[in-house]
Amino acid sequence: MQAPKQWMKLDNAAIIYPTTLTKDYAVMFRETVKFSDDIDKEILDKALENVMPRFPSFSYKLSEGFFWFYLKKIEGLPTIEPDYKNPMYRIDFKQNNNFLFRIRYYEKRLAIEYFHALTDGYGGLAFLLTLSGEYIRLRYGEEIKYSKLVLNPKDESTSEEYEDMFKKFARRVGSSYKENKAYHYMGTNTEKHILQIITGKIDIGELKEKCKEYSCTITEFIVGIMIYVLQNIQMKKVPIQKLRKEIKVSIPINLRNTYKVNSLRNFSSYENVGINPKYGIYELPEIICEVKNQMNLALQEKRLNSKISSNINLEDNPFIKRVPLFLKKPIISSIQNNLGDNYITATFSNLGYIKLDPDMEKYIDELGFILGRAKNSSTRTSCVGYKDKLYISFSRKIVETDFEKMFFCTLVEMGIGVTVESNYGEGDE
Amino acid sequence: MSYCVNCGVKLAPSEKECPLCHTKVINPNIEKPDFHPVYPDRIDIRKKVNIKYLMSIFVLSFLIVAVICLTTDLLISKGKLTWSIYCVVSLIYLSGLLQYIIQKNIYISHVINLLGMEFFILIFALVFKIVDIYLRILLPLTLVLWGYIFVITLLVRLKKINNLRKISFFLFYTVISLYVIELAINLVSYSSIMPTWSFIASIPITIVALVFFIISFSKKVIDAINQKLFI
Repeated sequence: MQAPKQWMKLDNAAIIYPTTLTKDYAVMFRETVKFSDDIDKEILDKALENVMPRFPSFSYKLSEGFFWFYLKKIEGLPTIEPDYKNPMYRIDFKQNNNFLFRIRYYEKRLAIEYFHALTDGYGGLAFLLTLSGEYIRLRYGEEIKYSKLVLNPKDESTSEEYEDMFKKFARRVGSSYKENKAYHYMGTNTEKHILQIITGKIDIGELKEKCKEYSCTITEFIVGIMIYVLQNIQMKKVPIQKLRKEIKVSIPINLRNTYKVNSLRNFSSYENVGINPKYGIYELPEIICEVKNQMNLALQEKRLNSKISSNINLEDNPFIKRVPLFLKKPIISSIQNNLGDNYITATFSNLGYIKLDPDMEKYIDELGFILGRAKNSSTRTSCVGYKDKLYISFSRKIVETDFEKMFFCTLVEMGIGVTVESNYGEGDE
Repeated sequence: MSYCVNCGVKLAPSEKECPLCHTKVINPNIEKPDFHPVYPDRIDIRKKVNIKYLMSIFVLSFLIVAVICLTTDLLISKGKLTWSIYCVVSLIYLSGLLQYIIQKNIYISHVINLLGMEFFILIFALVFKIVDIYLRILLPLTLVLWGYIFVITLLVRLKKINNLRKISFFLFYTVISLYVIELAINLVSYSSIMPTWSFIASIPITIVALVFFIISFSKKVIDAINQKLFI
């Protein structure tokens, strides 16, 4: 096993997240596994103990240096606590033995909530599934077939897993693309600790049939409907066509597929795709066509690389490097607050379709993936596919449900069945 | 499993009402529906610091320090109040600054602090017998300073006005401030109250402010500027 370093630099994507931390806000996401039986806490404790050495990059705490935040090695284990009604409220590092993720359980569901500076959706899922695999092995005595997402706790970790892949692959020739301000769908804000989640369970077969009709992927289809719904909302709120703003959805792109690496730290880029309703009202097939073409362009390696290279160049800028953190922190934070979400209307993150080994699959009924509260936009959308279902989750910080309602109603009108569940019900708001 | 009669979606067994449109679930085929929630009832919330309690402790500690200062001064100076006046006035002013933490309306906090600062300076003016200078120069200067604080607060909080128009308002206020400052100086030196240097300085500032103000209405020019300054 590689000897873990006493401290590590934050990867290029992560450097921004600590600067945006406030008393009530942290950039977070949550991944869940629903077992076929209620969780046995003692076995879960033992499974965590076995799994943690396999993920050395997860045993770090966030520290403040003079110029940058960095990760410092820590010992021990994170706490496992019962789940809450309002997930992803700002992680209290001290309460969690300084770990940058927390583990929660409720009846059959195991949930891990990550602070994004630690890892991204893929790295988080690898940890969750490895922990679930070890739990199943200990509880049911099942032989686990290990894979890229279900790692063998006894294996040695590789340097590739915790190396900053952005630095490794950046070719230093960056380019920036001019973006216009996007339409912002707003509403009545709930209290800061409340995050309202609506999850829709959709039959993948039905969805694939529909995607075939439009000759597009599931991501392109869902993003297309999101844009279509947002266009309708904007049309109602802004009646004058020329005053309407662009509608853009930010889609994270997993760079591991492009560069064929298995990093467990952040290694994703993003692309903002959308339409400009100033040119007229778009029909759904037109929107899907736009999304498809923009996504094809976005997935070109050269374009992806120019984006990560420009971020690396910015991080390595000799002037920015030498500005002390206490000066850098408020500047980055205010840029992020004022500009970060200005160019996007919504976010959609697709973790992909997860195929597990049948011996493990029989103990896991459902998977879930939910994004945390956004600072400036109202709703964030995420999805994960597992077995015959696609789980689409909307996490919102506003009371109004127009967006979610119109989204799911559009699917129902197309003949796609949707089953919805939520964390806040009658009289909870 | 029930369906929402309004949205047409299937509702998970946990839902008492449709989470999308809040239509209640009524299933005549089920006598006692079991709405087992998918999330527990526990709410994750940080313990809030009782700011009012904390502030009263601060004010109380200031009061204790003020009493100690006054008593010590009276004992040392044999019944006269000398240096302790400065301490007490400073402590009162410091207590006024605490307003920013408890007061939700920032403008009220500004007014309280403006009054606190004027009271603070007036006490010193009375002690040093320079009330005339206070009224002629210190008062207008502090008012100009607080005017800047009010204007900046207002401009920062106004989100609907574009940045160019905000800059133009700021420059217009600067022009007014220059006239007030010169008038105050002239009043102290008993010279003519007609503006001279402030008038000269105000011409280029007014021109720039006017240009910014006019440009702020042209979306094309703003777009062109944004394009040039795009990072």
